[in-house]
Amino acid sequence: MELIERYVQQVGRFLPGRDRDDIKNELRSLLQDKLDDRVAGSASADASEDDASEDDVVALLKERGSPRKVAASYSGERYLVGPELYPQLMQVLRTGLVVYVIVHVALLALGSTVITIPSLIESALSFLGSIPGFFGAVVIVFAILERQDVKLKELESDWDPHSLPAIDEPGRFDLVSLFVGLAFNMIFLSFALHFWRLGGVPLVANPMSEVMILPLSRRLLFAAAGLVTLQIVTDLYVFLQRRWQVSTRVVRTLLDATAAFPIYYLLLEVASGLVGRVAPVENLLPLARQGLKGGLILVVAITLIDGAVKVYKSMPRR
Amino acid sequence: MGGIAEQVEKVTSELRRGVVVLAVLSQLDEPQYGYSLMQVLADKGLEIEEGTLYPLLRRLEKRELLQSEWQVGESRPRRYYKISPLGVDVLTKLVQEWSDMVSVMDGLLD
Repeated sequence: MELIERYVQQVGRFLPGRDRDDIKNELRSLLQDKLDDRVAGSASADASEDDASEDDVVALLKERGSPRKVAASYSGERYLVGPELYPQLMQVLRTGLVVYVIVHVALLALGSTVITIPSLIESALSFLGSIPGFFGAVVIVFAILERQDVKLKELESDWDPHSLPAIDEPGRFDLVSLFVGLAFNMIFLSFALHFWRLGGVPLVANPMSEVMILPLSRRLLFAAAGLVTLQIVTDLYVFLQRRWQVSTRVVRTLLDATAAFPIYYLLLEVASGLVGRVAPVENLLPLARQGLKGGLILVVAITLIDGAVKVYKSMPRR
Repeated sequence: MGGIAEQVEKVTSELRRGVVVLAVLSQLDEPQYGYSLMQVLADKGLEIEEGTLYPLLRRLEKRELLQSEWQVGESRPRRYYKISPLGVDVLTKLVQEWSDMVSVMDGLLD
């Protein structure tokens, strides 16, 4: 029955990789055995799984509980957070990290008039240093919930097997990776616009010194910002549609590959400016150019191959 | 704090959790797949939910108290579990512990 397979697949999504296939096979076998018994109990003696109605399957799966709960039972003991809350903890940590990055970048953008490379490094280090605190706070909240015996029975009773996603649904999108991509694109966009306003990259952070601007082509910055904006729009469209289509995959892949070019030329300008002003070492520039060119070829090739694979997977089967 | 029924249910659940390993090991001298083991235990009066039994079987196998293998000859592939030589030794000790505990408890509850 397709519903059983969808259920097994969904349980598998919450399981650790090393045991996933094994547990899925065992669960599939168990559900089929139970369905046989259920049908045999309500029909003729030689009834089998094939005779089961959808209502039988739905009732069986509802008895078993939501995929998240089943997967949690395999999670073993946790010292702070038990198996019933553990999947929720992981989800909150993943989603919270994305929100945390966005808030941090927004605060950085709002709080400073000139963003320089040293100030960026300082901010990144402070951000990395604050992550353990963020994780710790979330885990403590869940540990308190665990000790308050907060369970998910209310959610369990509402669980409906019909809501299970289809098996290997073409175009299924991962919400977390979509939001991570959106966050990084927005960060890039805010920097591109900031540098566009300044006419280049500021190099000196020391408030006593005059800010030295490494000039960048405004046209290139505009092109990069425009392409990234189109990527953001595409991602938001995919989010609203709740799925990738072949057309959105093709557009996203082409945008990814095209965006690599203005970024490559911008990096070339940065490299030329840095070698000229900061590190006047002979032969360094040709080396940097070679490295960037190799990087561009690699990025474009990987983007196109990865995009082609994803487009193929997005195609509806028959 | 909960009523009497809730308190009893909580303690009973803890008691069952304590004996379930012993019960499972005792029934696996012959290979059984999870569902058949669940039925054997139910027939003998010990109902265990599959959400408890299957993860327990995997944990016992990781602790090398059980061995398992997939058999594909039947209507569908099934994973059969059997007690390991280490499991047999552990079971022998556990049975002794259990007998001692029952004697002590009988003495206390008389």
